[in-house]
Amino acid sequence: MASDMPLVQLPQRGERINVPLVQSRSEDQRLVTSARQTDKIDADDLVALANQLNSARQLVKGRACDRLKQIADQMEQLHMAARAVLEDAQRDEHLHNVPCNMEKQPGRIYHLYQKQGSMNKYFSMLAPNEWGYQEKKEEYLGSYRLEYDRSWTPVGEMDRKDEEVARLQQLLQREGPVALRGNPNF
Amino acid sequence: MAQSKPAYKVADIKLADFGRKEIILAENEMPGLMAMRSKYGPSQPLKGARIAGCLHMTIQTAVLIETLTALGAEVQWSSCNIFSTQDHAAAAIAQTGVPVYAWKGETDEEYEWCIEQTIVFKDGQPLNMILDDGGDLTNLVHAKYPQYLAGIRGLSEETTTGVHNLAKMLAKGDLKVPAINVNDSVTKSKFDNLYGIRESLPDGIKRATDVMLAGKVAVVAGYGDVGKGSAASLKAFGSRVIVTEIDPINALQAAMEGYEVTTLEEAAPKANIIVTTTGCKDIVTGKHFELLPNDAIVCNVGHFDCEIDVKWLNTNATKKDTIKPQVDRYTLKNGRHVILLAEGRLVNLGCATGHPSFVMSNSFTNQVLAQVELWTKFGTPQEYKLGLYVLPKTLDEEVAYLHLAQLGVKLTKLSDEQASYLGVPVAGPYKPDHYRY
Repeated sequence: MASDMPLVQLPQRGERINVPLVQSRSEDQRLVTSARQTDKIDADDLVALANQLNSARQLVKGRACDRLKQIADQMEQLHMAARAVLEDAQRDEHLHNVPCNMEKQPGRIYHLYQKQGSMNKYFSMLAPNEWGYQEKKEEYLGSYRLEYDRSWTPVGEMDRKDEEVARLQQLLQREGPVALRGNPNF
Repeated sequence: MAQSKPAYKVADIKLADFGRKEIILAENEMPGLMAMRSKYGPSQPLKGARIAGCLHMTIQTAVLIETLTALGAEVQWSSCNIFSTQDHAAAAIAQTGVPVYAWKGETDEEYEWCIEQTIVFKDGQPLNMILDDGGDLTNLVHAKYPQYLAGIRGLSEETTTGVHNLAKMLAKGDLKVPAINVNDSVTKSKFDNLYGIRESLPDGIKRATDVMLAGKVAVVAGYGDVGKGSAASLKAFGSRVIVTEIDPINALQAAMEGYEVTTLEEAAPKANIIVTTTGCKDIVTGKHFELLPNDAIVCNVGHFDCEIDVKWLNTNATKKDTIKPQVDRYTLKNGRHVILLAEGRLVNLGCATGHPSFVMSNSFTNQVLAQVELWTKFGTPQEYKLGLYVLPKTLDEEVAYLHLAQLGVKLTKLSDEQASYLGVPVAGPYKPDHYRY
């Protein structure tokens, strides 16, 4: 039951608005009784209150929606980032499983091929133009650099990745001395 | 041919500094090659030679390559085995500007590509000399580049396998280039096989297992050159060595050296270590494994991996534990264990780093002399005609001579009277060609 209930209930469009008022004291408790009934609610007053209440509710609703939207956007972004991470991991895993006779060393570029007429992929030290055989250009699938964290970077994304690393290193160098000022306190 | 041939192809050029340091160390241990440099360097006898070399690209080979270039040759290199390249050695050689195409772990296609890159030199000039180990480069040039054969003055071959190949080609009339068999120089096969293994066998066993050799019963199957070296080193460590042989001459030799000689069936129940050196097949089989005491170590130093029945172990053992690469501990059905090294392949290469530099200096000095012979005799009356030769005994003796000073050996001189009494020249050669050493 409870799980069907919405967590937060927001006013629906066209809903009849009940203006909740402060309860008056009973007649015998009052000291002043206005002849012109100035302490009684007038219909006009009620409309004004209702309007105010209504617009307040709209604003609350709008504001909540805005804030929720931000979270939703972030969730969407996180979801996409998570997906990219998983896809990268899958690709890295796949590339690590490709048959290769060499001991792969980080920092080096390896070239991926697929034997013609078969599903067998393999890594080579040789780029397609180095082989000198036409069939190697047809078998060529792409080139990847093995990173020090054992991930793979496609050659096309290498420049971007290097810039990113260089920027981070600059940042570290700038922040470094500040962070290291004074000896650590053990 | 590739129009965009790279200047070199190695695993990682950044390893060059490390390689250079090891080359400098090895140079000290390769006096034969260094003597060739100081003796022939000034006269540049190999000037004009374009040598395509195909031989394990190791530190020792790097010293060989630099000796050839010091004698004036232009050199291009590939490795004769897809796994034998030492990447730092290749990088150091590449950095000197020598085109080298070799890395550890090539595919078979890459292997062929590497060899092909060494055939045409810069400016499109083809090779005019071959230095080969195993015959792959020789075969490739004969099969795919016959147009260059006429321009090749000669080839020198390092190993037994390659020499067999050359003999077959010669018999069929396929060989088109004069060839020198370096393998059968006394200073190659009688040193490499005997003294090389004497150090690299215990190196392999100890790196793999750290076993104490003293007191153990060690069986050496085969008492040829490799068997003699294996038995000698195990005995020197204090093992009680038993030899098995099929040839009565070798069996008697072993017995006269003080080894017990018996069959493997009789020796197996007490064999703590078995080393096969025969060059034959099916030496250690299932029935022997079942007789072995617990945790017996079994390994091979013969050329091919058919001496130990590894297949039987893999199918009949109840469990196989890989302790580290190249060290497998099998549990047999009888509950005992067998430790197999290097999967039955050469244990001195699989578990250690092969022969030391000094003994390789003997082999490679023969290679340099063979190249100089073939190149400089060309066009003279002594020119090597098409055929398969061994180096003249004078050169074999020279190779040995060049290694003496490093060891502080003092040679006794033959007087004229003594020389005429023996009927040999004062300066050698001292032995007839059939002498066995």
